[in-house]
Amino acid sequence: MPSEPGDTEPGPRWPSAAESSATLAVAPEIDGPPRRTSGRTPAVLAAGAAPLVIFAVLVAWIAVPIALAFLGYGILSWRRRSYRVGSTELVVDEGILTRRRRVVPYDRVQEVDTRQNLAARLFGVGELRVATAGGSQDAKLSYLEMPRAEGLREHILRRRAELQRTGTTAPDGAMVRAADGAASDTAPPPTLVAAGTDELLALTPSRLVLASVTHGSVLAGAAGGFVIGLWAGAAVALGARFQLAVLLGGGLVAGLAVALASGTVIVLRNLVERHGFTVSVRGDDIQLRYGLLDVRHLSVPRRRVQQVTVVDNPIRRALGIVSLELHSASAGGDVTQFEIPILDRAELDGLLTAMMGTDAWRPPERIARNARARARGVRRRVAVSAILLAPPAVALFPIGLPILALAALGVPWGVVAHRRAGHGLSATLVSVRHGVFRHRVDLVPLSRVQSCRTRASPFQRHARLATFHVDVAGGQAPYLYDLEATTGAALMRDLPRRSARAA
Amino acid sequence: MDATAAPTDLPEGTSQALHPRTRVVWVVQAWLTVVVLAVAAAVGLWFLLPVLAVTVLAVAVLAGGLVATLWARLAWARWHWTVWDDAIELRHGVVIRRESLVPFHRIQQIDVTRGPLERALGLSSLVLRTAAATSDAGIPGIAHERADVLRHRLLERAGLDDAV
Repeated sequence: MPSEPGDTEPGPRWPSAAESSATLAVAPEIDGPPRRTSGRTPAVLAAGAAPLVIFAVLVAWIAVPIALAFLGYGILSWRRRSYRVGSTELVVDEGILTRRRRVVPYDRVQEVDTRQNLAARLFGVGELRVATAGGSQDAKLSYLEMPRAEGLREHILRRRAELQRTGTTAPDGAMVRAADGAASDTAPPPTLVAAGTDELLALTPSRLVLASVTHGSVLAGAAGGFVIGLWAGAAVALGARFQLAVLLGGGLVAGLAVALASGTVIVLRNLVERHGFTVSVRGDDIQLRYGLLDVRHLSVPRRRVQQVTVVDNPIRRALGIVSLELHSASAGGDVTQFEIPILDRAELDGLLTAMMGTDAWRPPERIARNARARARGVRRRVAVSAILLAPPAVALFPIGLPILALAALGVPWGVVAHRRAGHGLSATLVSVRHGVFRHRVDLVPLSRVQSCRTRASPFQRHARLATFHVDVAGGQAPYLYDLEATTGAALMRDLPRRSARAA
Repeated sequence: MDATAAPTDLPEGTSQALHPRTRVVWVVQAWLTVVVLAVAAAVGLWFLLPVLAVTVLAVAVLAGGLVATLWARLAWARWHWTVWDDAIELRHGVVIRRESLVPFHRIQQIDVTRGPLERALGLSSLVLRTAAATSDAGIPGIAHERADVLRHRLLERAGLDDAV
């Protein structure tokens, strides 16, 4: 090993390829002065950081031009878009390279909505969307000043109503014939705000808060949290004293926590999304308006409404409030669902009559099911409760057995469910109702019944019961479990046929 | 009520069965399912114990095939459709029995579909569509010659123009 005194170690230099591949060993200097590590370190560190720097530079080089390109495209599109409001149609010319002219006849219009996102609200403008029958894309005008957007919307809806009255084909394919043939064509110019909008319901923030804290999800969250808490508590209690207390305590704490959490989320969401919720009627349209950041203004033509559902839960029932779902579907198949978050049960009949323009929507009297249905309902709920409560009870056997006794709550649960379930039939409506924690009454006009079905499992057949379904446009089919088989069969054969006469 | 003939009129008010060859389609489909499942199980067991895998395969195919054949034939025997003057009624199902009634004035569209197995056996299925996605209105086993005629007649009843 060469160690001649006087030799100075050569300064840092890059080894040649031949040298670095050879196994060189340099003996360390013993008891010499402190040394810094290799001077090549900064280069190595730079090489390590280089990919990140290259990435950042690339992203900036790519991202900025992309953002500018989007902005430029948007501005060019805006400059090349023009619209003209006609007496029977709306004409929109747009397109940068390929010019496109869209003609939207008013009598083909399904819905006209305005939307404002946060940026648009800052500038007092909104987007107007016109949906037409036939499945083609919505015609969009972005952005119009809100007064102008509202005025155009009023104009389109009014002209559509007038054109339909004079006997042209309505969007859902049914021929609409004028009663006397005389058409009044005195449409005021679009700059006037049309009068004749009846406001039926306006929700204050406190009503929205009440709707939120009594929402079914809070109840469901509490129940679900309780069960999960029991399961977790069982795992924890395995090694602890006072096992039953830990178990129940876990369940209650978890249930409460989930209820509080979901309640808070729903309150915040409702206060923002449903701010200023208003229901009004204009002509043949139900109009809903709501939103704080993203303001929606929807109109639902009455004839599009296929089904109305009245929803409540035990807490809301005690307070005398309900919520309402409107299901609407067009001939083109577009399905939309609107919710009115809260109203007093006492107001329900009045609101339905005013909204739909006819008292044919009054919920019919409930016809209860029979005792066999109640027995099945009770058994089902006791079984579900027992299955959910079994794991913690068995895990802490024998201390945990009393938990299983909670499954007996399935009996009152089933009895209450039976007392609130059933069907109803009036001259104009069929209704089915079921549920306890989320009780719903589905109202379907006979003229909206598409078809009916029954289905029966072997157990149901043994008890001479069946599940009855009503098919409506819009994807959800109201149903009722455990109706008497003969009643179900009779309804199945009768209702779809009556829908022809009831139209 | 001869399901194999090709009548030109709708069979009024009488309960119709599906074409007998539909049984073959359903039995073959059931067997395919059984074989696929049995092979999957056998492959899974092969790595544990090859002898067991082969035994399981044989037993599963035999037993499963028997059950599948019986089930398919039973399902065919329980399938009925009836044309009334204003609606069509369907009844089918082995364990879960389903019945549905679709009035003619609600029918928006009728499609004729044929899978590869059906094509090989000269059968078709009619699919009746209403405005409701949940309407259950389809007749699976119609002889191909009859399917187009049935479709045309049903569309007439529905008041729809059959311009294609």
